[in-house]
Amino acid sequence: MPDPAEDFKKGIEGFLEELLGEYKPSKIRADKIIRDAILGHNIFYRYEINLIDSPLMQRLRRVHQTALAYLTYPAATHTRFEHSLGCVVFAQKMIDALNRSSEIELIGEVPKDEIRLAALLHDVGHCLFSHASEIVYDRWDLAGEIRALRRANPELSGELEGHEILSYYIVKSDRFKKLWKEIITQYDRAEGKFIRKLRKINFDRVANMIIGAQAATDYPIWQSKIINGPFDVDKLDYMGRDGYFSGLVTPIDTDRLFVSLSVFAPHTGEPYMCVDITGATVLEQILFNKMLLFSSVYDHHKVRGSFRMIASLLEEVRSQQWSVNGIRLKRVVDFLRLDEYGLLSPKHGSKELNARVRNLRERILPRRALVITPQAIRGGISEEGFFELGLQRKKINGWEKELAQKAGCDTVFIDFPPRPRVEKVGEHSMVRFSKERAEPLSKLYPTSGWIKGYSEVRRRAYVLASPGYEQIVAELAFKLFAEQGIKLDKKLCLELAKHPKYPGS
Amino acid sequence: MVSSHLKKEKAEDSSEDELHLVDAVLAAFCFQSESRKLRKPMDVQAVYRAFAELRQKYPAWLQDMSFTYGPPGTVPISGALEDILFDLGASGIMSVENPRYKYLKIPPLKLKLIRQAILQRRSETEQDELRQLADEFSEQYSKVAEKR
Repeated sequence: MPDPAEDFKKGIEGFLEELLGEYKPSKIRADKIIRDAILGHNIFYRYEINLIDSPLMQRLRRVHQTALAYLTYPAATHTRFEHSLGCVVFAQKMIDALNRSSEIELIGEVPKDEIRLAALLHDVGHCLFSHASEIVYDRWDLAGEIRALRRANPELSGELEGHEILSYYIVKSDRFKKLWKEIITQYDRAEGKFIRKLRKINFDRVANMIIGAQAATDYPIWQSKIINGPFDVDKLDYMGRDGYFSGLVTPIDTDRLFVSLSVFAPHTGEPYMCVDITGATVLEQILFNKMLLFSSVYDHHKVRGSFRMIASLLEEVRSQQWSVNGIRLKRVVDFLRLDEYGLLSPKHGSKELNARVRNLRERILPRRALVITPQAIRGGISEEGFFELGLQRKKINGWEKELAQKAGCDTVFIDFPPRPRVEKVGEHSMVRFSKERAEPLSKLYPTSGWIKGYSEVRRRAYVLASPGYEQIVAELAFKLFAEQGIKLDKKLCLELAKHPKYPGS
Repeated sequence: MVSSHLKKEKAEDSSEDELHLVDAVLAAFCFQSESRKLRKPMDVQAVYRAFAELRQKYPAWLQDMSFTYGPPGTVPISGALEDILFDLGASGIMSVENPRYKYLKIPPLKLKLIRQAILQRRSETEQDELRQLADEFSEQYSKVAEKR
C-alpha cells in the first residue's frame, strides 16, 4: 500500500524545486531593519533576510491574510508575508521576556534562532486566500489526502490545520534544507563563528516547533508553545493586525503580557510557560478580541459571501480540472502552486471560469436572502437539528443547487460560519498564582464559557444569493425548509437580512 | 443530526458519513444502559477527559476526534468535540449557562428525541456498537469525575 506521507513528501519536494529552482541566495552584508505599520522598526538577521528574500517567503506576499475580506474592509489587504515578519518580532520579545524572568538563561542562542525561524516560516504552507482554500483541500478534503496523512503520522494527529501540516513538511524537506545550505555558503570563511552558529540550526526542530510539538528530546515543550500554543506569537500578531487593517480596535496589551511571563516547573511533569495573575487580563483580551474579530470581520455576511465564492470556485477548478496558468488542482500540493494573482487574472481558457473570476474582480458578491438566528427557528423537532445542518455538506450542496436552479440564478449559498475556537486559550493558558501554584485560565474566570455563550447567541446562518435574486431565493428557501420540517420566523429572518420592505433596513 | 427529518442516508465509507462523529457523541449521552445511567448535569471537563480516553478504544467512531494535551493537570481539548457541543448549545439542546459554565445539561425530553433520531438512522449493528460506546463512556466519565 502506498505510504501517504512519502507520497506527500515527494509532492512537496517537487513544488519546492519548481519554486526555488532558479533562486540563488546572495550574501547579505548586515542585519536589516524592517519597518512595520504596527510594530515599528525591527531587526532581522542576515540569514533571515536570505530566507525572506527567497521565493518561498515572497510567495506569501500573494496570500492575503484574510482572503477577500478587503472587498468589505478596504484596508484589509495585509498578507501572510508581513504577518510572518510580525511573528518574528513577537517571538523575540517573548524570548527576551522569558530570559529576563529567570536568573538562568532559559532560551540559549541556538533555540533562540530556531524559534525566530519557526515564527518566520510558520505560514509558508498557506495556500492562496489562506483559510478559504484550506477549507477545500483540508476540511472538505475530497481526495482524503490530508486525512490519510494525519492517520499515517502520529505527530500530526492533534488539532493541526492543513496549512500547518504543509508548513511542517516544507521546512522538513530536503529541498528546503538545500536552500539553507546555499545560504550558509554565501558567507565567508572569515566569519567562521557566524557560520558555525548557522550550522547548529536544525530545521527538523524548527518544523516541530511549527506544529507545537517538542522540538527535540533536549528541548522543553514550552519553547514550541511560543510558536504554536494557547497564547502564541501567531495570535499576538494576527489579532492586532487583522483588527488594525479592518479598522476594528482590537489591541492586546502585549507589554503587560511580556512582563508577566515566566516558566513554571511543577513537582511532576514538564515545565510550562505561564502568565502571572497580575497579567491574566491580557489573556482575556486575547479571547475577547478573537470573538470580536469573528463577529465583526470573519463572519460578516459579505466576507462570508466572498469566502464561499472562492471556496466554491476552487472546488469547481478542481472538479472540472480547469487549467489556471497551466496548473490543475489535482492534489493538495497544487494549491501551493496556484497564487491569488494567477486565479484572479482576467483571461483564462474557460469562459465559465472567466465569468466567475469576473464576479470576484468586480466585487459582484452574493447578497443576504435570509439570516437565520437560533431565535428564528420556531417550533417542532426541527429546531434541534438546524445548526447541525452545517455539518452535512452534501445535503446542503444539494439544497443550494436546487434553490439556484429554481430561482434561475448562478449562486446560492447556505452558509454556516464556523464558531471561534477559544478552548485552547481558556484551558491551556496557565496563570501563576504563587511560586507553588499555577492553574488554567478557565479556573480563574469562566472566560471560555462566556465566549461560548456569546457566540451561541450570535450564531447565525446565511442564505446568500446572486444580486437581484434575494427575494425569490428567500421565498424558495422558506418553502424548502418547510418541506424539511424546519419552521422559521419569516419576519425575523427577512428583517435581519435587511430586506427593503422592513423599516430600518 | 438529532431531528427526525434528518434521517441519514447510509454511507458505505465512514469518512463519507457526515454524522458519524456527531452520532458517537450524542449516543454517549443517551445510549447508556439503565445500570450505567449518569447523573445529570455532567461535568464538561470530565466529558472531555472521558472522550480522550475512549478515542483509542473506538477508533471506528472517534478517530477524527483528535485531542491536544496541555500542561499537566489540564483538560485535553478537541475542536471536533467542541464544535459538536457548541452546536448542541446553539440549537438549544444542551445548556452550560450555569454560573461557571462547568456543567452541561440536556433535558430528558431532548435526550429521548436524540435517541429516536439515532435509532432511525443507524443500523442494528451500529446501534449495538454505540450502546457499548455509551456504557464505556459512562464508566470513564465516572472514573475521571470521581478523581476530580
